Amino acid sequence: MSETRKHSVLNRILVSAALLLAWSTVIVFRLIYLQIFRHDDLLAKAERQQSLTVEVNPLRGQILDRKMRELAASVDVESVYASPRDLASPERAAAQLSEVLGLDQGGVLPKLRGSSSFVWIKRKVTPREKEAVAVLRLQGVNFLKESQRFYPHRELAAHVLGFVGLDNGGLSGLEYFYDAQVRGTPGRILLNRDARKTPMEGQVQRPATAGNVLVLSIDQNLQYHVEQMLAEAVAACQAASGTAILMDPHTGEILALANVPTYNPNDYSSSGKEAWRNQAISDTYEPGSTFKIITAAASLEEGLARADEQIDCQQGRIVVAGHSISDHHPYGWLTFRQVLEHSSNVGAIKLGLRLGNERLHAYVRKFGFGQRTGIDLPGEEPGLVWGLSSWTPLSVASISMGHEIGVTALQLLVAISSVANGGYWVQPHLVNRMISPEGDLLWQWQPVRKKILGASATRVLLESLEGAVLRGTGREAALEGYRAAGKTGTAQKIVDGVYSHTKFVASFAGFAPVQDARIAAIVVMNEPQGSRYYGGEVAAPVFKKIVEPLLVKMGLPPEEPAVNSGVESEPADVRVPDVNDYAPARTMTEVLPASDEPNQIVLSASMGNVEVPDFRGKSLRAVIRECAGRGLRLRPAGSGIAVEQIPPPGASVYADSQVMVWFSSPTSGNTHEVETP
Amino acid sequence: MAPKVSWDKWLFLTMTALVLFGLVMAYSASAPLSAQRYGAGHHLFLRQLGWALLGWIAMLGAMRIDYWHYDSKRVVALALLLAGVLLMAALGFPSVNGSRRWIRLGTFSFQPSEAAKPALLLFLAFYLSRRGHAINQLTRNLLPCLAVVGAFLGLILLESDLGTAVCLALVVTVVLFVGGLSVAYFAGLAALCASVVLYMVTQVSYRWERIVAFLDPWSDPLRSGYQIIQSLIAVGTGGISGAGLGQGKQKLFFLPYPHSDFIYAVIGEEVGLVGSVLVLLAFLLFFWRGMRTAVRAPDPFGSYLALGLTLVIVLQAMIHISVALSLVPTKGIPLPFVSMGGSSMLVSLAMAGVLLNISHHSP
Repeated sequence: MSETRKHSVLNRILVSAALLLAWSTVIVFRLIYLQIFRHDDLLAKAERQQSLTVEVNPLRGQILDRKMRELAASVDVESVYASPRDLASPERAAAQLSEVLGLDQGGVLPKLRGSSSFVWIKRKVTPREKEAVAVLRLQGVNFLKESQRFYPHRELAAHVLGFVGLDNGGLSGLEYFYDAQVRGTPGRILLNRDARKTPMEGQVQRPATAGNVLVLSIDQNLQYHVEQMLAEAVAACQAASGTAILMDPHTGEILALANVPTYNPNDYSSSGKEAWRNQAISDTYEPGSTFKIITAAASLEEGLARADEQIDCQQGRIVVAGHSISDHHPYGWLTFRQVLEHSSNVGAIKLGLRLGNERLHAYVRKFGFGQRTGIDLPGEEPGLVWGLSSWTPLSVASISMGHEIGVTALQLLVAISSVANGGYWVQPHLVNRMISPEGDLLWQWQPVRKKILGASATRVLLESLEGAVLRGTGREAALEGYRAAGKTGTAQKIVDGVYSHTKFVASFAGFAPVQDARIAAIVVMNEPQGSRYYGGEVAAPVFKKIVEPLLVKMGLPPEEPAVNSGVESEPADVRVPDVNDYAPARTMTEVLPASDEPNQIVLSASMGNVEVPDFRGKSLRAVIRECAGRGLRLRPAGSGIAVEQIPPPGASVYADSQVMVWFSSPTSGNTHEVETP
Repeated sequence: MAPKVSWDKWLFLTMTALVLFGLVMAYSASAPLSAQRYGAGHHLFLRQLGWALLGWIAMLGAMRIDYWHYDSKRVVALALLLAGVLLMAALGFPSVNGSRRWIRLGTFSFQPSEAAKPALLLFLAFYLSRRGHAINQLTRNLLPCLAVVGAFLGLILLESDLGTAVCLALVVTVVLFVGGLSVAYFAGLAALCASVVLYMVTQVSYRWERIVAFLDPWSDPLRSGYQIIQSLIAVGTGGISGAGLGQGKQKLFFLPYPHSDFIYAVIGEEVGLVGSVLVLLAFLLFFWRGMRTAVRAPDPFGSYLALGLTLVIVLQAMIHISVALSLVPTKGIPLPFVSMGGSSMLVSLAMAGVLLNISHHSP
């Protein structure tokens, strides 16, 4: 080979080598870029496809009664799912699965035909169903352990406990209210897998932590007893529904809470939504006579009444705001105590009139009406208390005897408890303690209470309410061997805006023993049928049946019967129903809150004692002066001179009534609707 | 003849290191597939080990046969004939994944395109060493040469083995370039190759998809971009030092052909940047020693043969690596000495043996 030729070969080899070296450099830079700069990004992508996180359901915390007995527990159950892409024959699988699981084949097949890797076939199957599916040995059909809530006592305390849905979320009751605490945190397992989705060894990323345990104030046995008594009573008087609540009046601990109808939380979906409703806190009703306690308490506390004061009950008839209201049984002079004992409407109204709107309203609020008690349950209603501005002249009388107001059974129980505990409003509650899964005390209930009544007022009320049981309307609540106090109530229900004469709400709220009350209770019977429908007839006996054995069981020594201390028992031999035979034009549903509608005033315009002057053509200043002079409240609108007014000139209204007057600028013409351009 | 010197130690050591490392990597990369298909993780490895031993024996034999024995019309013609027959025979076998690259006799299978490599290189060395600069005479010398090469490449393309065809075309081009092909012809040849490749690519839809995927793999991550993405994920996951031998997860059926066409991705994942660069450097070292042998070979035949043998191994490695890193469109092509595959291992080692024998005579 010649030298020049060799030289040329060498040159060309060098060129090739240089090109190869350049290529190698590109490769090295590419490696650096991928393995250093793109490392994190690509690693994340790798992990995403190589691993599979599986959520592990946590064990939901137990719910225990006050003696640590199980009211709600969680058990492991199996759920059946399929990976359609792994199925050999969706048709065959659908046929077999629907047969053993009792499912509709038409519903199963479309799920199995999809291309997803996960579909539920049936959740929370029975052990027998699981076994039946397992023996089919279908590839692509698997089981997943899930937690199933279990209520060992079925309906017991159903409205307190509530229930949980398929995904272990609390849907009602305590299960809903304390869901975050009871639920626990799901665990995570990271499974390595290959491209064919075959899971390989796993690694626990975060273990599931069980939910906290709730210890209630409810006593399982007591609750059972209350439910039995209530169910019997509701059946006996064929009531549409019924409620009974028991509470420790000193601490606010709810000892039992029952409603009829009820449901089985293990199978909540098979009963109607009506059965789920916790009437004790969600239903408001006009309380009727039981509410007279508030009127009496307010007048005592305000020094407007004395215990032994004589009140003229005007032979059972009083006219307020043009309405005549009567007692069922005409009384003459009654002492303050007897007014409560015999539940005189006239007496209560007279006390209410002494208080006047503002003070009565203030006490109604003070006792917690119109506001939620704050019990640890969802769905509590605040009740209905009209603002002062929408009270009519009749309102003070109506409210004094428990009408024109909506309350829940729980609110009334809390109100009467303040008489039993020395004058305190206490917040009712259900959960006493929260305990971690390891058994550490996490949280303990501290009673919340506030003083609303003085000692002397409380003492008089106590005596009066005991009198009602001994001598008055609540005699069927009297206990054998123990002293009890309480108040009956029977209110007509409002049906289509009118007070019904056939539908009643009968109630009894009371407590025992009188001197150191251990139990405060309320029994509400909704729409009892038949001839007996008074609170004293259908609710008071239930109180007795519920409370009497409990006091015996609590080991309380029987008491001496109360002395009829200087109370003339003259009217006692008369059976006095406490129903408020009362039919005003206005009902709870009819009245709109703080409405601007002028006809509200017109309603009572013909019954007052103040004549409405003609304001038209006068200036705002003049109208203000005239209103002030006659004791009318002015609600002006617009500016300029008065062009229109409601009520019309000449109408007679009550003092302090509201008058609406429209003013218009003289330049804007003579109609008030026209705006100045 | 030139005085006998010892075999090029660097060449020998580099190749030995690559083969040993390759056995480890092939074992690691093939274990999941092997376990799944044959119930034993080492099944494919043992088969590969057998081929490597066979290749080793072939190499030791080739080292001892002086290369000028091949410098005869009869040997070259025989080699071309044998390779051509094998290539055509492969076309008669049923296709595997749309290509007919295999000759199967029971459990034994062979890829004739591998055999075509040494045959073609032998022919080229023989031809160039005799025609010298006259290769630039178009009709007398260049076209006959290209006709032979073209016939073989055509057969390989018929087998749907575009990777090997491109690789061989590249080798032939470089060998002709070094052999003194004028720049004008060189450019023409390059244009011809390019247009053939372009034609091949646009005619077959999966190849076109691969090109598109190469440009933007994430546009279709589950189909055409899948292989590239999986390869990039494997390489990127390795980082600087890698996940450790056997620790890679991408071979768990995420990567296609992790033990052959994408073994460099497994290397990237398991031994990281350090290992990947070392493998590249090993091939560069092989290139340098091979070129050195070519330059120092006692005669043009030895020179061209050494050149071709070196290039066919190194360029194939460069293409394989570039595919794994998505620097060039995806082509199924094994990494010489490393990837699992009997024919490739056997032929590569035998060719290395011939190269070593040439080095034996190059001072």
